[in-house]
Amino acid sequence: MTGPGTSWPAEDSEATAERPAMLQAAPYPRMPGGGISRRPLHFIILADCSGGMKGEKIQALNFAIADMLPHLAAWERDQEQAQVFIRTIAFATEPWWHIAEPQPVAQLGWKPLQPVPKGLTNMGPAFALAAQALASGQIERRALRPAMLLITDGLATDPPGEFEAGLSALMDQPAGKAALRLAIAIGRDARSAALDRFIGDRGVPVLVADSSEDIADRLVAASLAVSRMSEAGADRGAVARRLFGAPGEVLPNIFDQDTIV
Amino acid sequence: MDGLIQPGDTLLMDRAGARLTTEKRIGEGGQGVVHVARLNGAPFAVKWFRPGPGSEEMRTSITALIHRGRPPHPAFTWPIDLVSSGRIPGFGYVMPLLDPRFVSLAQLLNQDRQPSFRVITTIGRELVDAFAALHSAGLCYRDISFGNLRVDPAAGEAAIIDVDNIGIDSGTALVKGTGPFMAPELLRDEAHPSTVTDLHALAVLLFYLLMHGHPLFGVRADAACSWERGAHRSETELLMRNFGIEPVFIFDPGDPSNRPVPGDRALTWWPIYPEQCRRVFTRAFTAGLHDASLNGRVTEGTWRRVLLALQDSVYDCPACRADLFHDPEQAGQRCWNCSAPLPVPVTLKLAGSLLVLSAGAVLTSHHLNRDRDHRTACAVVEPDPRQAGRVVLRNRTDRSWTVVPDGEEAKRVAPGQRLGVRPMRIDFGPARGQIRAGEIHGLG
Ligand SMILES: Nc1ncnc2c1ncn2[C@@H]1O[C@H](COP(=O)(O)OP(=O)(O)OP(=O)(O)O)[C@@H](O)[C@H]1O
Repeated sequence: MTGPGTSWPAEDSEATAERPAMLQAAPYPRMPGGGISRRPLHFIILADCSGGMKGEKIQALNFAIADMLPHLAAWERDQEQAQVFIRTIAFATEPWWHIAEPQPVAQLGWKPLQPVPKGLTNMGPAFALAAQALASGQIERRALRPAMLLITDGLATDPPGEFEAGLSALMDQPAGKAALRLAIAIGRDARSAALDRFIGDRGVPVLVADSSEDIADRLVAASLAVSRMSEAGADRGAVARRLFGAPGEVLPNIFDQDTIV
Repeated sequence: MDGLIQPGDTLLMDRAGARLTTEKRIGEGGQGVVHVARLNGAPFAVKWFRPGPGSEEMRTSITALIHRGRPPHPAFTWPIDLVSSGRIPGFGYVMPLLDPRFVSLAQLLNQDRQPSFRVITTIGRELVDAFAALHSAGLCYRDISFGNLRVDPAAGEAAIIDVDNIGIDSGTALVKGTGPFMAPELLRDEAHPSTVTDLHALAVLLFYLLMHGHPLFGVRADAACSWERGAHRSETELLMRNFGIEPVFIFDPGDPSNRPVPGDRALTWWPIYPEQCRRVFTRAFTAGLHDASLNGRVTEGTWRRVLLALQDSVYDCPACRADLFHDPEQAGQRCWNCSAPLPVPVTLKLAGSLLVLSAGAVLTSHHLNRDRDHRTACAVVEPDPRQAGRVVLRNRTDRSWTVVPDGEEAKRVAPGQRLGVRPMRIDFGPARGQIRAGEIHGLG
């Protein structure tokens, strides 16, 4: 410790034998925590757990969501404006909350979903459930535009009128109407007519994926799109164009883009 | 294939005539894509523009930046040369590749474990110095915001990317700024991006850095938001109202209408900072909001003084070790963490500064020579190995100091030697100072 050329100048030295250990300046001293004050961004996943999802499809869905969350969390750590909270509605014949309380994305571990044997794919009631959660008073007034992600094999089996009823309940809520709505159709036989109606914006395509890796890529792209879309002045069409990119391609970096040109 | 450059492409440097090979894509923005590119084996970054309106203006303005050269601050990733491709039309430019040790500022501030006040204030000062260098060169940045900044907390360095929007005040600008950082007059469309609007953005940035929130997003701004039927406003409308038309500082002493939203992190951080710092923020977000001039806005010189003073006043609570600032204007200061009354720390008074002599403090070349060299350490404060709570000052210069401790003979402190800190006069050679007693361990 006492290097060459160092001695003790000008000390009335009664240095005692018990010297305290050299205190290292702590790299992280005690500081207030809590990050930056940000506005909540509610992200609601609507996951198809119908009987038809059994086997590979549900596995792919679980894998893909688990794979997407860290990307979304990484994006979120980089934000000074948005803090992402995840909720999940699972649905078959009936919808139910798989994750009812909004969970900070950074702390969320994904609990895999199981398909409901013989369960139908009734989307309308799932939309209606989401609509309740997005009602004013249910989300913070300063919440950013929410995001919704519907993952399904695309074949809605709602009784006549039910799909529309659920969708219009959602559209009747300003936050539901304003939400960025994305859909991923799983499997080669996926159909997207219902999903197109859910998205409600011809500029935003249904993302079709037929392998779990493919879904993961799509979900990551979707999660990035969420980030992009929630910012002021976002251009829906531009985001949509990026989502068309082939899987495996470098994912678009759509961070930090609220530049007003 | 997206009509832009791809890995493996060869690019020709305009002035240098050399060839670069494109590697992987590392970024994508509204204006273009960024790739790693190699020149004689050395890695660089290339930004390639999406073709579109404004491309020609962009080419002209980047050419001007290349000719002019980087302002005298290393933080700017400045364009080196224009590049073109034999395969596709369009153009780009080559610049230094950002080291991965740099992380985004938001990431740093969102971490559970916050960097120390010394680190935070050093980063702030680096950013201020960089923008001062730019503004002194007669240029403005136009889009100061989190997205364009990176920091290395360990080294206390900053990097500024996306410099292609830099230009002269009122010169042609393609970019107006990033919403929450935009000056009120810009949002109201009454002005063009300029040094003056940069200064507002810089104040917002520093507020985020120190207080962890937005200076104008308080209860009034919150109340303007709504998800009720018929009451919902678009983000653009909110920006305009809250930050453009009727901005009110969340700590405005004369207008309590927009106080922080309960739970806002700024409520925790704000009282920790000394009065002088809070006064300057208050000026920036009261008079400075409405007086869009170099006199109204807080300029870098003032921020630099504030940040240096903050850096010099860091110490820790003797009871709980929380990081603190000594505020010479505040009597009876208490620890923000454990509420213990805080003793007045030992200080070194020099012309133009007051350095709290707490372990970890550094007496820099700037303290002694006023040369803006904040990296060269002339002395460091270390814990006194003989007595807990006391400190020593180690001479890191290559000359001896002469010290006259109160009630003692004059002594010399040779290079490398340690000086037990107690009240005294010190002659460092280029400067003289005085160590003043604190209240710690009966030093007074
Ligand atoms: N010199 C560099 N070294 C490493 N990465 C870089 C460099 N320059 C830019 N990048 C990366 O590329 C991304 C896009 O760059 P940049 O912000 O310049 O693009 P832009 O099109 O102007 O974006 P914006 O729409 O935000 O203005 C950056 O966010 C960053 O991640």
